[in-house]
Amino acid sequence: MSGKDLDRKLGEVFREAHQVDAPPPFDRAWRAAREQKARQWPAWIWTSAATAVALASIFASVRIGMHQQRQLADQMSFTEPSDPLAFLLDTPGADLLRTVPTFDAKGEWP
Amino acid sequence: MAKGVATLEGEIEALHPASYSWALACCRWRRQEAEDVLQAAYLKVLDGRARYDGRSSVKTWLFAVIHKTAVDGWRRRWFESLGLVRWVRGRSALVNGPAVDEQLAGEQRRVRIAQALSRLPARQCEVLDLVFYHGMTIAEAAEVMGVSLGTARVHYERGKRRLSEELSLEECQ
Repeated sequence: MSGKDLDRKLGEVFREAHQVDAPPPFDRAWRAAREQKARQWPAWIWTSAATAVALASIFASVRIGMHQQRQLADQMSFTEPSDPLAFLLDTPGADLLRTVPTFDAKGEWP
Repeated sequence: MAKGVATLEGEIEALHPASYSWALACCRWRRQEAEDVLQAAYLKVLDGRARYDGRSSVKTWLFAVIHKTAVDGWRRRWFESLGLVRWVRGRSALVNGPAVDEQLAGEQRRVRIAQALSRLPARQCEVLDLVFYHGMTIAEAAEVMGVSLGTARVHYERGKRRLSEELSLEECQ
């Protein structure tokens, strides 16, 4: 069988296979698609919902992290060793040493 | 040039019978499935998930949308069949339910053709359907199926050889 004959025969085969196709009315299919579209939620609702969920989970994880850090800091302050002679360095007027003295125009302490 | 849905509606309506035939070929002549695929493809056009950009003919574009919708359907069903119960149900459906439509049952030759087509691998059947029934070139068929021209050519040649073997075997018996 030549190539052309084979092509012709295959063409007939496919035409025969499609002979009883009987498509549904276009209006029915198109209308059904339209109705399905009307029932669908718009894409922006899904997008905003997904964004809100993502933001909420990020916020929650940050909050949990901060809370854990604070707990850890509290635990550390309890376990921090305190110097029993630290009060000896706590002299009267010690805060003066940590500030820069200022004088008024007459050269006196304000 | 991109076209709006309103402009396209007339062309899609004109192509409706051919689109349905193509959906049938994509769904191995299962009518209900083909109707669902066609409706899902129209929905994609309506809600803008499928946009015509004018790079090919409307027919090639619409057929590609239908093909992709059918492939998505197979994938979805494949994932569903991963469940054991569904797998068993799917197997029994495959064993009991013939791929050919009931309307073909009475007509022996058409049934034989349908059976021969159902034995062909999906891609071979699709490329032959596009070329021999829808009158497309192999390049257009490749575009519709989303494969390279070389791949489409291989499926075309193998499909032709296999189908002619299947049918001549049938005729000899």
